[in-house]
Amino acid sequence: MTSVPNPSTHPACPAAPCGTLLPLCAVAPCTRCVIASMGATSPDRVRYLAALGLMPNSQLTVEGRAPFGGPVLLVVGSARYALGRETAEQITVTPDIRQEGA
Amino acid sequence: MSSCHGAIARTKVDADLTIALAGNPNVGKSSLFNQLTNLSVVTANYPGKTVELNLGATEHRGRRLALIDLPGTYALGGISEDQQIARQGLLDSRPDVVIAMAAAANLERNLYLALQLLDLEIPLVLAVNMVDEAERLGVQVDAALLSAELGCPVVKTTATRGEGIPQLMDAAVARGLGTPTAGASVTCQGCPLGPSQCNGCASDRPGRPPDYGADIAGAKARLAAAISRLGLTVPYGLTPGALAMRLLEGDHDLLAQVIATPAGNVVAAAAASEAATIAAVAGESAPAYISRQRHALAGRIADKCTSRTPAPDSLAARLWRLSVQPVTGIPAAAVVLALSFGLLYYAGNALSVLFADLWAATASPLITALVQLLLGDTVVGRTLLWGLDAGIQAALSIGVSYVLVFYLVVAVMEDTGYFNSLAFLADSVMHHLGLHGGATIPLMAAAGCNVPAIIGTRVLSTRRERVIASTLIVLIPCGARTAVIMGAVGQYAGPMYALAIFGIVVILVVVVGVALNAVLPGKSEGLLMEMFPFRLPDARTTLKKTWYRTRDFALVALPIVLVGSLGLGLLYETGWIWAFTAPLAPVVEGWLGLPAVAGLTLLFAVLRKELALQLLVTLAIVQYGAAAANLGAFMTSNQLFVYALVNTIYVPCIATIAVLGRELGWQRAAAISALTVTLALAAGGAARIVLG
Repeated sequence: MTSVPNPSTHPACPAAPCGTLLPLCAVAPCTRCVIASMGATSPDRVRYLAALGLMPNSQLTVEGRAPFGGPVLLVVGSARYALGRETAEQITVTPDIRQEGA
Repeated sequence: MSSCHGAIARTKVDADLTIALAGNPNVGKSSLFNQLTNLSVVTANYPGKTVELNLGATEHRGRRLALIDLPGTYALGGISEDQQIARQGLLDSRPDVVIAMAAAANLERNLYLALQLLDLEIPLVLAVNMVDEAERLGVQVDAALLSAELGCPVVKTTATRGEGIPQLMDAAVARGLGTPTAGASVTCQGCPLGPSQCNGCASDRPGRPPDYGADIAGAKARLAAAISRLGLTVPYGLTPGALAMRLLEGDHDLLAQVIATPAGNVVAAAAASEAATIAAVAGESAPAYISRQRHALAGRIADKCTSRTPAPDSLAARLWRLSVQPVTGIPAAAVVLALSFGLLYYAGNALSVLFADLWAATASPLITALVQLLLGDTVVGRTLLWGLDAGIQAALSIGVSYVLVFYLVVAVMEDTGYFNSLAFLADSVMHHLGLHGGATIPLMAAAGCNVPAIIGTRVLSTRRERVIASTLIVLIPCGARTAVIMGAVGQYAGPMYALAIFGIVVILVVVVGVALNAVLPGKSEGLLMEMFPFRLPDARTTLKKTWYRTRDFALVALPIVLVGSLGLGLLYETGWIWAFTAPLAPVVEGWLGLPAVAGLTLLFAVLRKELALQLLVTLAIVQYGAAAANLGAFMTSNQLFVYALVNTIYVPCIATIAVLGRELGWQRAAAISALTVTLALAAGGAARIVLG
């Protein structure tokens, strides 16, 4: 998806250079990254996310983001999920710049 | 969560074998259940739809099978309601065999649950379903290799078309009985894979436990040995190995049951010690490490057994992308909703007229003649005609006609997967109401019937979200209330007036949602939803679902309409009605500007909301003659508008109140009901003043 606001304009999603830690909600669409930490996500949600394959060190691709604080669209393995901003702001990732897409 | 023990026991009692169906949401489990049982289990293309257990029975090659359709779930943890019910249903039913269904195009994620089921050491058969969809996406699954990797039979199916189901059931029965099935369509001791790939499905061996690495295998083996050595009574008849794995994964419920048994504390201490050993080596908690290793194994197996050839981006995939991009998705959603409204208005009206005319031309003269012949023009005879003639005619022309069209629209949206796109787009708006996009699905389902929608709020993770969503659901006009809006306001005052009622409801929903979000403490956890590609709905499944839902509606509604019509008829024919309407006059006549007798029909409508208009039409028919068009002579357009508005907003029907009480507690149910009466009277009075 391309119709998303500049991440740097979102207060909780400061723009960060590639290769450093940044919140999942600030990752540019079409970017592969690796989860670094689950942040302050609640323990129950951490376990639920783990069942879906979303845990530290797992790879995912951010496919798009909805505007106005909407969800992030993620591809994990062969599955696709919509993850709300509340959780996406907590999870930090390292973008994998070698495999960055369009 | 209520226990399903009794129902499960009754289902199992006459069966030779008990088969549980497990799988991720939206992999076609309910389609298989429908195919096998011909029961009216409704399938839907979004996660968490089957929140309650569905039980059924079927026969396969002379054997009676009890079927337990577990809720769609991604795992067997105790985190969310769907996972809890799936886990508990599986443990309670103690199936002889589990059929795990996996979507062929999404094998990696689906295998996670299959591996977890194999950990339970219950005989398993894997159905790789929706093979047709996977092939369109260029995905091929090697069933024989997958069977060899998992150590259980694997059968490819396309459940919607019935393909592979006989082979699947042959394999499941053989696996469950531990013997070949006579006359089975397979050759290798009940295994559909042939002699070279058979993994012993005709034996009573449960299959090979998954290999998550030496750390986990060692801890599991030591703990299982301790459980056996101590002679622990293992809950639910699980094997020591299965219990060991669940305890290492942090299954609190099983741990509590273990502790309650003799030697339980020793086992619990051993489990804690083994979990600590895993954590020390892995650098993370044992449950997290097991989860990670299981995902890794699922990924490796899926990679090995799946081949992908590039497939062109299908039209469905392109449409799906457009549907979740706000620039195209929001206008598309507006168009879809407008088309749905148009269809409901025109097709619903056409059906309504057709049913009314058919009834007036055929059944009505017969019933009238028969009743008059038997009872003459007496109070009893006239009262009976209220129910048997006018009541049924009103139910057909007002209830069933609009509800049928509505259910068709809902079924198409569910089966194409469009509901999920709407949920994605609506997420940021939902935040203002203290909810997230996931609540969009129950809120939209509420437009069909509030009762399943309120049950559907179980997919929301917090109590706060469930209270807000349930309150808003109650305000959303269900199919029955929409029938009243369309049948009274749409038909007599015009479609713009009907739209205005929906507009007022939307404003009320937003205002109440924002207010509850501000007042209730806490905040939403946010959206987490699997996104599915669009699917071309299978016409048969969609029509069947529409038919079953409409039939269920009619079967529940007709007796209540009959009793309500007869009751109102008796009041009318005896003249008592005027005594009952008098106390309502100050509010109904004075504040809402409606005939007092209309207030009585509003009261009766607590039984079923469409009863309001049906009774009103019945009153009109009795007072002004056969055709329902005479409703216009009974009340003005403005009065019908106020009437439908009040009926739409005030207390949900008795079934909704009951489910609110059960799900949220009676205090909250009473508070929500009181809120709706206040809102209805305020909105109705205000509308009367504005309309003059």
